[in-house]
Amino acid sequence: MGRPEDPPEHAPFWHVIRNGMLDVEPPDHTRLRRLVSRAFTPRTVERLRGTVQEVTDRLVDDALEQGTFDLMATVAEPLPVTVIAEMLGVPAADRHLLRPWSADICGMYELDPSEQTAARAVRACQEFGDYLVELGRERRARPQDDLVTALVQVVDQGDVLTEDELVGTCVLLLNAGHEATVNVTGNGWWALFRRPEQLARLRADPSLLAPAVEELMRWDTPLQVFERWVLEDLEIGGVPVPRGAELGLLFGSANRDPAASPTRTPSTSAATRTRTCPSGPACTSASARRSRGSSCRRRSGRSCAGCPPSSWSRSRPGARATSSAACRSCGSGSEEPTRRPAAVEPVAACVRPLPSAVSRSPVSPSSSAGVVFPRGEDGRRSTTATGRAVWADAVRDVDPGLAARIDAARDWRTAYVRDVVDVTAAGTTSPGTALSVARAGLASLAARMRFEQEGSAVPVAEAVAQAAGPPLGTSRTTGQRERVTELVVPYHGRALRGDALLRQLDDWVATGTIEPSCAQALRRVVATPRGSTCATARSPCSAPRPSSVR
Amino acid sequence: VTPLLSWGAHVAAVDLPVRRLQERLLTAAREGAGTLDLPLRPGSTGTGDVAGQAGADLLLETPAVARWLAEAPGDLPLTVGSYAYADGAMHVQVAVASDAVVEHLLRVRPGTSYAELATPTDAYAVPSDVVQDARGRWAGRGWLALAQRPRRP
Repeated sequence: MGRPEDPPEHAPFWHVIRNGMLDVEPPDHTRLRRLVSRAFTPRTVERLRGTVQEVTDRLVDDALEQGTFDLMATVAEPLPVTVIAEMLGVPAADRHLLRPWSADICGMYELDPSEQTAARAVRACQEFGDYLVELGRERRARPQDDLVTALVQVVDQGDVLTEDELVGTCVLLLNAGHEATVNVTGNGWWALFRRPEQLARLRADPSLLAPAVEELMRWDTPLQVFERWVLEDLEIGGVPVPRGAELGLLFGSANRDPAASPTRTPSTSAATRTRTCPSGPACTSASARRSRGSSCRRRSGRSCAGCPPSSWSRSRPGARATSSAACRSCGSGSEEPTRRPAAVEPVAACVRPLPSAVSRSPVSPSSSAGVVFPRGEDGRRSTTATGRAVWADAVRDVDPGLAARIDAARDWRTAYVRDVVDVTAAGTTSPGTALSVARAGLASLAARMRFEQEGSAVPVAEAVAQAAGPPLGTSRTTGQRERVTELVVPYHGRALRGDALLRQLDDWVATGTIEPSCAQALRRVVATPRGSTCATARSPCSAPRPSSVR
Repeated sequence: VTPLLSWGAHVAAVDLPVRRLQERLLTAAREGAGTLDLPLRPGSTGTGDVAGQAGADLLLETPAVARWLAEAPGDLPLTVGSYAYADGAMHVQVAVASDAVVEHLLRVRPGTSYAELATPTDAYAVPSDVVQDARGRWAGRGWLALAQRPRRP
């Protein structure tokens, strides 16, 4: 239960996205955030202010030269991408690649994206990821004064970002910084044009700019909804939220919670805590977004004071889920910008303090009793941590270096295939080595897994040896039919037996359908059928689904 | 289980305590020539509605299942077959439970043998000539390629 499985064809996309800090759980989230924060701070952004202003001036000058122009296409869209490219250190010759990549990647977040849209997102993610890997390697060899260099160089208590984490962070920066800035620019100007008194006030007093940007992000939130999956049972505002539920977090609604935002009209002097991204005001890209918003309006406030609203495009920004509807919990969110009902059915809305138990990450299985995965230091059962440790233990005696690499892997959940292949290869030097790897791995798994019952947790083998508890009884049923003394194999509506079965076995071997040894074993059964005492243990939870039948 | 019972085998079968599953086993026993033992819930009488009283959960009752199988009657040596399956991480839990039961039986019932089903997704390291031979057979399978294509995405 938890986040639904991703379609396999989308795996390259989610591999990149889930290495961004929006999609990882503590302690990995904490670690990633700490590392990125060292390279990407408000002070770093402040140093970029000159560049941001320069880019904004150029874009606005170009727009004014046109006389009548489309705000979104001429300023709102190119501004954040250009700034992000500048921050990352993407060479000018390559910057034209970023906008299509970002647009295609964001397509995956559309509600119910078409296969075509999803395929474009996957391709863009792969291309951008490959590009960033190359850029990171280049910057590692030849450092520059840019964010990618800072990210590849950042070291915190001996810890560094992996290549996947570098890519995930940069893709997140482009996505979060690009689309939200486009939307806040369009939404903000749209709101100001409809309230000329507020626009006049802003133009008269540039000191109002910072709170005005904050307020415009609250008034018409650029990112309206973000989905999360619940990892453990919760109660939010008296509403029970079961584990595995999908939540649509309506930021627009949260930003109109009367308890936090008493104003009912956009005010250029209101200063409130605003939720514009899943990580809230402390989001690393939020400070950059505010910087871009401020620069844009500061520039426009000076040069465009006389422009009539009609000279600006009325095109609406493409907010992908422009809706907040009224909050089900507190009834807030009924102000004007609400346009459509929420498309994602929320279990609970208006969730401002994001519970730590809510995440996009997949849940680990956590049966409350019986054979279970062990709990980690944080109390959670992690299949990834257990799997990684078992594979490392399996190969430790045979290839200690490989074991150390697996122990240190940060992205093992998504990159385990390479390590599993290498462990398999390490076991091929001799039959004895293969057995050694298998035995060590099984021993490690058996030692780690637990049998839990009534609050106690012991190794499974120990629980089996003790065999505490009331014994199971026995029901015996005896059939009265005559014994079948030959092997009969149902095949394509026929019952193959005797010579017909032997011919079919030959045919299967000739066509490679079965191994010769399998046919030989079946021939022996055909020749000498016999019964024996036999115990079978079957499905512990349900009959196998058709796709699971072996 | 059905073929074994038709051949007259003595089978001790463990499946979930779900009436539908237990009824299927009981039907196979009644229509066969062998003997079927089913575990009963603690305190059950085994009379009347047997399907509603039989079965055990390998994950939740691992020690009880191991004990029941260890005490299963039979004059011939025991062969224990492990055919449990589950999707995802639960498969690991099931495999661990099965292994613990089998290892216990191998320890407490000398002469016990073991059977399992391999799956098409099992991976084996084999010499390169085996790989070449397999690929050659696959490439040269003629008209069968047409029938097999949909099954190989």
